[in-house]
Amino acid sequence: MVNNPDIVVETKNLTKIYRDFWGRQKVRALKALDLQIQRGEIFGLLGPNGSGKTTTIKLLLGLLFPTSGEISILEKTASDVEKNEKIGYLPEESYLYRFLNAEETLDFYGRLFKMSGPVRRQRVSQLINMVGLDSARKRQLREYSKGMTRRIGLAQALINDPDLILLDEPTSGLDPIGTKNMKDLILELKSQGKTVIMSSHLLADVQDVCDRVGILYQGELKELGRVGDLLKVSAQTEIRAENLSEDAKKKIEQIIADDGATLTFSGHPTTTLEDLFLNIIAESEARPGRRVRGGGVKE
Amino acid sequence: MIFDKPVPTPAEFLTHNGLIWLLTIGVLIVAATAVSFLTTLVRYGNFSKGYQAFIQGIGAVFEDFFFLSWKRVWAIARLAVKESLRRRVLFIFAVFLVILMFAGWFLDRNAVDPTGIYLAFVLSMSTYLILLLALFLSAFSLPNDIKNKTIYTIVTKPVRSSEIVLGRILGFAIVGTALLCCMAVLSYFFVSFQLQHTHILTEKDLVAQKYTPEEQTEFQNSGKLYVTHTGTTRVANGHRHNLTVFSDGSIQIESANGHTHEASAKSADSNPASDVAGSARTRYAISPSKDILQARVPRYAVSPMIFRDDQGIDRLKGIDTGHEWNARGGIGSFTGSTNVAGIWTFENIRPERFPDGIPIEMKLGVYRTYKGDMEKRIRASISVRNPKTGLSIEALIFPTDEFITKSALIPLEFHDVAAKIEQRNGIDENNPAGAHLVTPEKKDESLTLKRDFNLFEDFVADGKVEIWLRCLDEQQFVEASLYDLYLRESDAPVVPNFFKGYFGIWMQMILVISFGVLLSTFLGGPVAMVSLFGVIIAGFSKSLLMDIAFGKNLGGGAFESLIRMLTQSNLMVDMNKSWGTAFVIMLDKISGGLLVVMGQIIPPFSDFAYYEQALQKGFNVPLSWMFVHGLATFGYVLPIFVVGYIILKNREVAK
Ligand SMILES: Nc1ncnc2c1ncn2[C@@H]1O[C@H](COP(=O)(O)OP(=O)(O)OP(=O)(O)O)[C@@H](O)[C@H]1O
Ligand SMILES: [Mg+2]
Repeated sequence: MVNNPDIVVETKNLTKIYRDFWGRQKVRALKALDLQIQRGEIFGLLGPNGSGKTTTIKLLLGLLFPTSGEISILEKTASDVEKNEKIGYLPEESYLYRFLNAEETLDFYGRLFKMSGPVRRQRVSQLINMVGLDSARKRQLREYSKGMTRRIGLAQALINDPDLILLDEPTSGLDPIGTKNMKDLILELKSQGKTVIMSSHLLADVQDVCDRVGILYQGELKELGRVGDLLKVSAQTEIRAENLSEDAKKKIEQIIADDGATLTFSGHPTTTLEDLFLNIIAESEARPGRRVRGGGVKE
Repeated sequence: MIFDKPVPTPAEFLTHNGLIWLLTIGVLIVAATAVSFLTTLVRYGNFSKGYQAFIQGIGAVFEDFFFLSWKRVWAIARLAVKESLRRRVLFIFAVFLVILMFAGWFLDRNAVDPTGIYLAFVLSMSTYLILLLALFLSAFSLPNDIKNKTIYTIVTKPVRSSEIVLGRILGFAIVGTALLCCMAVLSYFFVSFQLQHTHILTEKDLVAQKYTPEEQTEFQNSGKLYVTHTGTTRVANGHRHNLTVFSDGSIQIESANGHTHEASAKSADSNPASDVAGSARTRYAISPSKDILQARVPRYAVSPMIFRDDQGIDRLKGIDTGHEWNARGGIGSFTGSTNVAGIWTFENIRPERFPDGIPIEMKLGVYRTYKGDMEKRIRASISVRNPKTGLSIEALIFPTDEFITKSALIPLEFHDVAAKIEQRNGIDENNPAGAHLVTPEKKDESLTLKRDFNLFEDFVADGKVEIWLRCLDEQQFVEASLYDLYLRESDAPVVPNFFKGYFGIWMQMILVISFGVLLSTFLGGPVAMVSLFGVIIAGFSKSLLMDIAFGKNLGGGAFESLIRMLTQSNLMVDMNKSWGTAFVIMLDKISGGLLVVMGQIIPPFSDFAYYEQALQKGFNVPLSWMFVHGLATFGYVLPIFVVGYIILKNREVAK
């Protein structure tokens, strides 16, 4: 694989088949995924439930072993523990020790990194502050609400000041303010030059923060590109002019009519991500097997 | 000895078991490498790629050991400690407390050996509870992490699988050790307070010694100590002590039920020496019981023990009287006859170590060929012999008490006695039929001319001394083995020895924890627990398993026994020869072979019972045992750790 420090994550032909105890095939969760993620971008993995988003993230982290294909992450293999030194991961649900309180939790995870005691303590209180759990720092996690657990999960993902952050559905379980904070935080991380990979099925979130998105459906990558590009409706053209005379307008309409086209709408012809999403799914269902149209990298 | 097989010395252990260990580990490593190489090749389906991946894998394994960070191990261990504290530990401790609170009701402190009973109780309670805790903690912890998916947030940190496995073993070991220490402290106070007692003694319990007036004046003129009273204390904890009062007012209390007391006259004005008849106002103060716990230091004879037959020839075996405990190594019996004796040779006997003479202790068996007077005890004698000159003297004659430890002191000086030269007729190993090795070759009768002897000068040569035990009643037998007669050095401190007695439990706990963590790297919690329980049972019955494995037990192996059970055939009769039985015996051979291999992996839990036995029987636990067994335990924990690590590393935790 190329050793380009600007490519933070690269997968080639990544495939995951879940098998049962006897080795019989159960699910093809991911099919031949090719992906390149650049340093400093926010990449969104989109897809309906069960489309392979979480599987992809777990494969990148080495929590699952690929059935075939290759992974390079921070220029290392997925099974290399040293890559984790610079990675932060927020799981789909916060899987934390319920008998620890917020401080103990962060302290424990902090101890797993090369970090001096004072730095660790300072980072712990800074992160508790940042995720807004100041008043609950001494309470055991078993007493936490879902959103609070989510917040402490986020704090634990950031304990080592990572370069690459993988967030599996970061906004699930958060209230509107929490969601807003999360999005602001992701943008803030980007401004610090960090790379973020997030999965979601909440399109609004992705639309707001992501630079690029990949859309997965039944383990296949269906779309990949910049959010703006994806939302452009190529079958439609928008012409926008100022102080256009009525004459000229007529001429243009005439040209359109001559071309055999119809003027359907004059306004903002961008679609929403939701439309795009539903379209892709409808299309995939109608013509299964169609692969991604865009390239792997932003051109 | 109190134990059925001797514990090897560190040197013996390192050479013998060390080699076996290296061999086993070597075989394991070669096998594991071969298997993983082949599976990698198969997985990649391409030699050069598979080979590369295999080399990378080996590199990763080495990295995981050499870059193992103790800081992270400690972080994981701390977490394991916290986890256990919030789980079952306190509950287990509470159970132990409650048991101790009520134990006093049903333990018999009036028994002959109350200390043994009490110690057996607290030790087995501690063992059960600690092993139960180790079982639950270690079998469920990792599976719970995987089930709750908390493992996701751990393995996505720069934590190596080696650190996870080691951290857990360490964390649970810390918890278990702390709990075991608490149990030991509590047990110590429980045993010493529960058995603490004193006796009442007044002058009514004493009988004045009757002396003629002449004797009295002679005693007073000679200034020597003489006995003024004898008597017994009042009953406490179901026993009394016999005692003797001396002319200087000192009181000597005999031991009973394994302990003694100190006593003194209470009021200064009543001196029993000047008051032979006993003053009505004399009161005695009896101290609380002493030596409830003991740490005797036995010095065993060098192997082999010699049985001298009635021809006066040294044999390695005595007469087999068919007692079941003849199964123990080197045991034999000998009967009353001038030539016959059991001979123990002791080495490294220095006067500094034995300033007051040589105390010996023995526990002998008795075999009667005719009933005779059952009340009359069989008499035996102890002689000391100089192995070099052959000079020998009869030091003690005593009645034997069967199965009760008897102590005696071989004095430093012998006055006005006769000694003789005894020759020994050893068998020449190279020529068993013919020539005997006679020691000493020539009798130097000049040595026997004197009548006063000094123990160390006359009977110890180069630190060596022989002790000869004879049975003095014809046609009766005394039974003894190498370890049934030993010298007693000065006692070790009791409190540290009490804690050393818990070392066996500690090692069992460490092994259970390690096996538990190992099993939990690839099994679910309940399955791991049941398997671990199986390992514990196998560990406790290892010797039985090994007997089956080597085909030593009667009635054959598992399959043969099954056939015998179904056909109700006698254990002692060989099965009829047929293809069927040959097949069954072959099956047993195969399964026995498997058992032998498995046996190398099963930890010998029964060996660790030595510590409890030593404590119960009032012996010091030698540091060399702890070294040997500690090393053996480490010899198990190390490969367990490595295997656990390799399994966890190759496990898809998110599956
Ligand atoms: N441990 C597993 N064993 C078997 N199949 C699995 C396992 N985990 C996931 N799958 C299957 O793999 C497919 C992809 O699952 P994945 O969790 O990656 O989806 P997702 O995109 O994250 O969905 P969601 O939005 O619901 O979180 C699904 O069909 C799922 O049933
Ligand atoms: Mg998911």
